[in-house]
Amino acid sequence: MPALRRGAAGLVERVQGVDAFPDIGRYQGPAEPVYSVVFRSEELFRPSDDGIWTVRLDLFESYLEAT
Amino acid sequence: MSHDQTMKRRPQPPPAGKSELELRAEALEALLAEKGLVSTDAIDAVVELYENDVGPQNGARVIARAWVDPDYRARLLADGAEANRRARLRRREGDALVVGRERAGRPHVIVCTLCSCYPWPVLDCRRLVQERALPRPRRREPRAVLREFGLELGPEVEIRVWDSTGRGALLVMPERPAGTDGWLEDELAALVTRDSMIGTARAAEPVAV
Repeated sequence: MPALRRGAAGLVERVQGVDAFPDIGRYQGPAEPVYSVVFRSEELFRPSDDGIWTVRLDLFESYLEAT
Repeated sequence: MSHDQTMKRRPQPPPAGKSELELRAEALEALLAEKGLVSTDAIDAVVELYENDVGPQNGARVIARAWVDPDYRARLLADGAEANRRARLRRREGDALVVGRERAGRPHVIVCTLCSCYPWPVLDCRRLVQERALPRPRRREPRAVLREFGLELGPEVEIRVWDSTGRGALLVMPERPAGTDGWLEDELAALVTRDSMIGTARAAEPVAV
């Protein structure tokens, strides 16, 4: 997972299914839900004058904290 | 390429005009064949698949079907892997394909951050080799990147950037062009370009005849 997303606030938009959590070892991790999370561009990057845009990332549940 | 050709070429000096990558691939193939680890027939079959069976024509057929068949469109948007089933290209990249449908004022753009995440069964794979030599996509300025592709979007348009991963590949369902009522599926497929399926262009406008 790219470091620039750490600590950013996003919104879970859809469940993308369940997959083996990869950080423990290839195909060895426990099955875990994967979510498509939507972030506003200012959450990830410096504010810009590039208009409205959002980024959607597929993230494992372990990467997320409920707020 | 036949077994004999492979064997004959090895002692010869490298022909002019071949890239380092091509030469390296040929040397590797010759060595693997010599050691009996792969057959040249198997390699030929893979090359044949990439050259003839894989490419944007598969994605175009999927999109055209979705334009004419609302039930199929609903299935495709709910489960993008339907695209690969239609293209009879199962169990390759794109099994977890997600299809985003374009609507007026809300384009989708695919950002390819890794090579293997590209849904090559329905798009293409040959361009990957060229694109690896280019700088990473400038994700911080999507509007400027799209402008370089010739797609100008006003500030009122929300751009949704989808970061594709090794798990989930992405395909954009472009808007069906106006003036194509009553067109047959094959005729519509001809309007669906590769660029329109990654979001850097609209589907081609119909040409008056």
